[in-house]
Amino acid sequence: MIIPYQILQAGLLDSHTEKPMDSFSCSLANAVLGSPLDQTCLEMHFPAAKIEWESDRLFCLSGADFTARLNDLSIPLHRPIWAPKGSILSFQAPVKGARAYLATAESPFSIQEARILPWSANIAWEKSPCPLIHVVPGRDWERLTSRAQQQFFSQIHLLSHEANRMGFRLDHPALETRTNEDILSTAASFGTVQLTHWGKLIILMADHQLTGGYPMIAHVISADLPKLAQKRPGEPIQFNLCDQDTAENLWKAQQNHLQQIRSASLLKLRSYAN
Amino acid sequence: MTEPAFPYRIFPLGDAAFSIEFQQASLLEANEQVHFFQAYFSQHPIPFIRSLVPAYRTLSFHVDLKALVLSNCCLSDVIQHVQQVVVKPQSTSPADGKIHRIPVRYDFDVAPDLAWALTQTGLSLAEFIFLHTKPLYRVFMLGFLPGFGYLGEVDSRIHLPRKPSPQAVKAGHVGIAGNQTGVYPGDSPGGWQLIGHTDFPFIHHGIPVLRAGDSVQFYAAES
Repeated sequence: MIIPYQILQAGLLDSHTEKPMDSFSCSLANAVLGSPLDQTCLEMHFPAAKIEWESDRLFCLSGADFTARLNDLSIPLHRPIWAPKGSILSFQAPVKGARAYLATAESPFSIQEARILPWSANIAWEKSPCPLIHVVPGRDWERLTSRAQQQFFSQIHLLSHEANRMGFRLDHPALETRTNEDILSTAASFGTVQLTHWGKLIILMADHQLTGGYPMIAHVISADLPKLAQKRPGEPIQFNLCDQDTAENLWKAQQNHLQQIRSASLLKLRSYAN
Repeated sequence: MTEPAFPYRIFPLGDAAFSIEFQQASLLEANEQVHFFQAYFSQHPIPFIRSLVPAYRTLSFHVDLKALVLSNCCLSDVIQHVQQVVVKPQSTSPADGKIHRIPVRYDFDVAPDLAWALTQTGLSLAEFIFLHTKPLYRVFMLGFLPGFGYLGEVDSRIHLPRKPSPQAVKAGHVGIAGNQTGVYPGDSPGGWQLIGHTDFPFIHHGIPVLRAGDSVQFYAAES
């Protein structure tokens, strides 16, 4: 992909990653532009990059709200924006969320000035968020005492400052285990909730190590990883149990929703071009 | 006569992955099944499988959940597919891997946990070095970091528990966790007890030097 902009001032950990932390927001930004959902976006943390457009483009922002401006125009999330060559995108302050996504697309039409185009994603899914993070049990769930199993679901865990693309460490009262016996290293996945010997939780994120040897007590379901990825240090995390069927249905609902937004955006884009 | 049941179990690894764990008493035999079926499923791919991850006793399957649900399939369909293949233990030829000889400095100034390890095991430095360098270790699996080989099995007299929580580790540190040993090929967080250091290059022209099924012999380097 040709990147149609120049980074004037680098942000914190910007990356054109094929493994976004919040794959929903990344796909949503693409969907609003009618692009393929798995197209690579720029993932940004705050302070975010300052960007100059080197050619005329459509773009869309999703995920975290960092108060975006295109020249002097305030830019909302989830809207297609027309950016003429030479315009400058900047971010003022982190209002909500941890990671913002920038998708770009070539435009079938041309306008003189920066403009917010007249349609947006129906983001009902985001507007009524269930604050709970759903998990399915892991292989080593039974290592927790029954009291700790209850505590795992009832207590509030805070995201610590040790939270990055590799993993999230949580702050909470320690969870008690029946045994601390070592286990053989085995594969882990994005969303695996590991328990350290101190009874503290680590959730493996997008850049996680392929294998690990700490007990795996649960796994965050794929549909809730985007929500988890937008948590900031100090924010609360509470877990809720779910089963495989529910996990698959939630994921399917998200994917269908994204496909619908993409189809609707393609129609709008065509009629706007005419 | 009925054949003895094939000792394995399947457990989910979240909603988009699962593992087969081979439960043979011998770790070596279990690991041979892991590598047999990894080769089999690489040559005969199953729909929706994104990647295979071999480990000591487990072969894990990561699934493309997007393609799966959009085709109206579910994870249990893929698991059933795998179960139809994994029906009996497969005879495997003995591994014909390479032997790597790796020099290790067992010095207190380069191995932060060595002194603790001696206290923990009640051994002298010479005894500890003897027990760590004696076995011809098998590379049971690769993973964790590019170039990292999980080696086993460590003599039970020098088994050391994993650290309570991972800490920053520098490249070249030799660690022990339970009955496993291995060398960190790059800087990384890690929870193994660091009992030595080596300058051996584990990545050569971008390619990991160790392969699953190879053997490793450590020896004490002149310091």
